[in-house]
Parts: sequence; structure tokens; C-alpha cells
Amino acid sequence: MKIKEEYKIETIGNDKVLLSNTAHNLNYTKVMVLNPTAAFLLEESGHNSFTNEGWANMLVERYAIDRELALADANTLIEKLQQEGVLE
Amino acid sequence: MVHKGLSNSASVTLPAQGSSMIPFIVEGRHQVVVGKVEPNSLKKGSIALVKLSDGRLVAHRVVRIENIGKGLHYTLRGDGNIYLKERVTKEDVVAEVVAVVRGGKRVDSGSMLWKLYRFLWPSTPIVRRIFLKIWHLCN
Repeated sequence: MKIKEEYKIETIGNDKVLLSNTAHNLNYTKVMVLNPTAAFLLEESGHNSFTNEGWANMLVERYAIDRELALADANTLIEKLQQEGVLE
Repeated sequence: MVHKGLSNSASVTLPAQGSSMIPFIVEGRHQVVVGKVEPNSLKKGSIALVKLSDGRLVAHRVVRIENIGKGLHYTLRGDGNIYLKERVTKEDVVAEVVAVVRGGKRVDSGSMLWKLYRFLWPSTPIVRRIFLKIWHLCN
């Protein structure tokens, strides 16, 4: 799975947000405010393919946390992104 | 935010806020699509996104255009406003509302539906007050 091409990360004030941004339209009606962990994973992955396991590994490396907790966090974020229709 | 958005994209979609454009634009239900203001693109019946002198951004309908001195002056009035009007200059106009998304359907500026809303909605204060009361009772 990967992030749809139209979704990009923008900085609004102090927040990093994920929104649909194309040459045709910038949509502020569906904005996801990203916490630092989510921003890290999305920025690192860009529009490349990723897996739950891969994201969990990245979290373990970056934050030196337990792998089980990292996988749970990665699954939660992926579930949220799927609900919002951000992934393909 | 809108300025920055329009420098990279042809249009920016914003959630509707406030009640000054009801019943055409309703907060929580509808979305507003704004685009760059082309020279002389604003006409009577257009909806302009303007920055008022107190810093607020409002999207209201153009009810009058005057060419005074060196520039254009616009008088705006929200569809949901009975008496209140705003007077702005060309420099205060941030963007033009090019479409309103209502119930998932896009109503483009200048379309038949757009014109229908404009002409059917009363401008006379007392009639508008009655229509607004009826609308509030039904919603």
C-alpha cells in the first residue's frame, strides 16, 4: 500500500497536516493533523509502498521502543489512513 | 492560506463557516471552492471572498459594483443577512467563489442552479426576514 499521489504534507502554523493538494485543487475540507510520529512515517515513506511491518521497524529504530508497541502504533495509523481514503 | 493555496493550485476548497450565506451555503453541510479573481470577473451575483478591515474573511454576494476614482468598489451582502452590507475595494478581494459543493453536488458559479438561487432568494429585507424564519423553522 502507499499514500495516494494527491495527498501531500503541508505545514500550517506549527502543525503538519495531510491534505489533498493537486495543481487543480487544494482541499482544506479533509485535513488530517499529524502528530510527530505520523509525520515522521509519512515523510519518510513519501509516495512509496510500505507495510505495517516496515513502519513498525522504522518506529523501533527512530524511537527505540518495544516492537509490539511500534506495530500497534503503525496499525492504528494505517487503519486511520484507510478510513480517510488516503491509501491505495 | 488561501493566497498560498491559489499560488500552487487553480482552486482551493474550504469548509463553510458561519451563517451569513444561508440558505445557499450552510456551515457543516456545504463546501466552498474558491479560485483566483480574474480581471473584471466579479459581477453582480458573484460571491467574493474578501478580507474586511477588521481582518475577518467573508464570502458574500456582490450586490453592487461602482467604478469610483481609480478603482472598483464592491458592495457585498450575505444571503443570510437582512440589512448588513460590506463595502470593499478591489484590493480587499482575496478570491472568487467558483463553486459551492452542496450535498456532494457541485454548483458552479454562473450555472442555472446558481442563478436560480440568486433570483429566487428575496433581497427585500422584510421578505428576506420571513424567508429566513421559515428556513430556520425547517432546519
